[in-house]
Amino acid sequence: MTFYSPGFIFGFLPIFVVLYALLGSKLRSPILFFGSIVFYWFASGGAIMSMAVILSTLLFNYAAGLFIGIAEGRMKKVLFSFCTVIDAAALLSPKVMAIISDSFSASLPDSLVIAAPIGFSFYIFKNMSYLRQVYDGKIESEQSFFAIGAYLLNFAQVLSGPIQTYADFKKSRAECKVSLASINGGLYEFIIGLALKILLADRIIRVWTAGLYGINSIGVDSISTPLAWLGFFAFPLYLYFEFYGYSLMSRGIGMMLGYETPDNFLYPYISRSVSEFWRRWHMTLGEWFKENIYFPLGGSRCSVPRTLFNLTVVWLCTGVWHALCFDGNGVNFMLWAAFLLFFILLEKLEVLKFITENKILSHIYLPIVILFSWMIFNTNLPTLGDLGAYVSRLFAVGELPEYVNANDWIVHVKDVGIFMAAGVIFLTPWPRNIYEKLKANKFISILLMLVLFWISVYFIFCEGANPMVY
Amino acid sequence: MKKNYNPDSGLLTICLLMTLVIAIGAGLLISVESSNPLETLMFYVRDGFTSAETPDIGGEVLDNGEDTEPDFIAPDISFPEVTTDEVIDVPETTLSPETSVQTPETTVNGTETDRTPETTKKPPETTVKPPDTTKIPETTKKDETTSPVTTQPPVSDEEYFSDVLFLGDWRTVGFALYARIPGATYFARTSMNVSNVFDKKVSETSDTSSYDLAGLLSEKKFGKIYILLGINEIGYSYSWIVNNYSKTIEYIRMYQPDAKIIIQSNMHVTKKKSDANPNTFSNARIDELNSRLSKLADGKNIFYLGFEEIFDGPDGAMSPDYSGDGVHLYGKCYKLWRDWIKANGKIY
Repeated sequence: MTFYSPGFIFGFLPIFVVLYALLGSKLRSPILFFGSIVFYWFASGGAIMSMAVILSTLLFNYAAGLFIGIAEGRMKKVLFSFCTVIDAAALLSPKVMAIISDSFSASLPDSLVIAAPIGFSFYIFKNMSYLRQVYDGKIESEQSFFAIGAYLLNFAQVLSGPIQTYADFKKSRAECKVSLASINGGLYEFIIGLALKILLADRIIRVWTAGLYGINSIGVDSISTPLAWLGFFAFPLYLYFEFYGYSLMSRGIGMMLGYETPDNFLYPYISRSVSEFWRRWHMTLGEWFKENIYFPLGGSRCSVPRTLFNLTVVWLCTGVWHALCFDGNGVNFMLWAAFLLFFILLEKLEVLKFITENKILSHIYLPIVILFSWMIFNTNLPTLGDLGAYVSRLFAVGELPEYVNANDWIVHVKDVGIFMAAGVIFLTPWPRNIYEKLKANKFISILLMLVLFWISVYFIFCEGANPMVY
Repeated sequence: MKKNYNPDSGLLTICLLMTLVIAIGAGLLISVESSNPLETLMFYVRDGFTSAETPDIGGEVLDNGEDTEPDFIAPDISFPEVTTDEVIDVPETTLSPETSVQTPETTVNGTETDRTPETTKKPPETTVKPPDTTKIPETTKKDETTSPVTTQPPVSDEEYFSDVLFLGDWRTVGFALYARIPGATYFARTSMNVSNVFDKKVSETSDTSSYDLAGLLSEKKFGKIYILLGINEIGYSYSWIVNNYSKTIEYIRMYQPDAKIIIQSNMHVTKKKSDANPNTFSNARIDELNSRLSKLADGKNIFYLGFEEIFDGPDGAMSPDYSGDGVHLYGKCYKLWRDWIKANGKIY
């Protein structure tokens, strides 16, 4: 079950929200906890091992929080470090086991090689941030198991974030209340997120994934140069609307359940430097790295070489974290992180000041760097070999090899051209600004939501109803 | 952007619920067949969001391998009187005794599979074999038993393919796009299967995109017609596929009585795809189908080319290096198929 499955939209979510609203506020943590377990059970396809791993780490961190809360001085520090290392090891172990198993041709028994539970990297980061906040004294350790369980397993955030801190979650839950107005407000965000994901992201990614004529089907070394460039723009657009759409849906669900969710995206493509882009892209992850790695290392309040070192550590971890989120060997993710780090360091050293402070140059510089960074990141090009083959098609000159169909891109322009054009407009704040003005008119805004919602449902249906034919 | 709850206090929720009820209600009231997106959507909602739509191929492939099979679409016969003399009687009459025995299950790991029947009642087998066969795995040698028997000298590729028609589903579309044999004609369409070859749809290949098949066959004369069909309908019963295959051949020959018909073997799928779909896209089913199709060959007018192995990896399934989705080939791989046809698949 994902946010986009009919079972969630028409089954789980409405039932859960009604129950949650009707039951008194005392029961809300338990019901959110148990509801999230049900959701996770379906989302992970009933994987008992995943459930066991998730619940045992939950128990561990609940206890860890309690102990760190009462410990003092040196003991507190030792406890905190120990528990954080355990969490990090839990996060890394599935990948490490898989790599060991691969390199030594399955010498490990199957029971040891466990696939990472779905959403595990987000989930563990929330655990670690909770321990950090307790250790720093920003919050008291949570006594109620259900309260911490509801926070960590919260179905609105367990699959792909946002990585909300416990302090923020607790405070906002105490301030907001569940009402018909809040549910209604949440529906708006939910529908907008759904439409961005279904009507933009899922359409646009077809350049890569469409059966028969998508880049993945043709094979990356047999695509024409125009198609390669179409794919070059399609993947970043997809990635943004996929993740932004999800984040808005998560935010909408949060509203329905009576808490505020932190922003995860703030129009990153209008940024003027790579550093700014990453303050506007996946913001809760950036916050996490800042709070849990960058600041503890000293941040930028130390010598220049030390600051550069701190940034390097943060981006190394960012690369590793993304490699953990996806399949593949992870080499491309490390290359991706190094590529971005290079520009961030240059920006930090103010070498690129003449670009980032120039109104025109900065808006040329940023998209170029970011688009190429997503090309390295592209999960459809899992190995360095694939990436190399793709780049050689992207910049191919001279005679067309016989195994390339020069017209393979035309069908895609017809298929997704309009969605990509719309996608570019939706990178800017304009559509949202227009929408905020429209909101004053109930009739128009409700009509818009109904249309978006049912068109999205129709597209979900179409995806499900068309089996692959050859 | 924070806390901007819409001030309509529940109107949207109510409207959504109302449209949901209307969709279910209307879905219950309106006719059985959905004819437009709105109706389709209503049915979808009414049926509890299960996609009951049948796949485009015209019938429903059931998980257990039993099927509600679509009817064969016969062409409008609109051509001068033709005698349909030979062909068609499947399988017994054209077969030598030993081939009527079902071939055993194929085994993986490169074990010899005895799926090619020995159509021994043939003129001497003087297969023309161009010297350059380095790229072809040795497995192909076995398949020559049903391969062309020639009594004429080889002609140039250009000349040979000038009256060749390649007929088939998406794989043949890909073949047209990426193999690009000069002079050859293609008629291919996504989701083509043995029962809908003659429906009114046009070809997806650029050279014949203004014809349906009946139109093309009435218009142009072909000497050799290469057919590759079977993967879309692989979930149906073998007898249904073979019957319709032979009907398809029969109708083609009514239009083109002098053409040689060449049945191309269905290539394997990757092991992953095969394991995931034991009742449909499984290599065991593909092998069995190929074996049955090979018996349609009579060695005179109908021939069978078995070359599924050329894409196989060591495990007897299609190599993952050749396909992204496990079924159809990467653009760069069609040349293997083309080169095999050029080297071993010419019929004179």
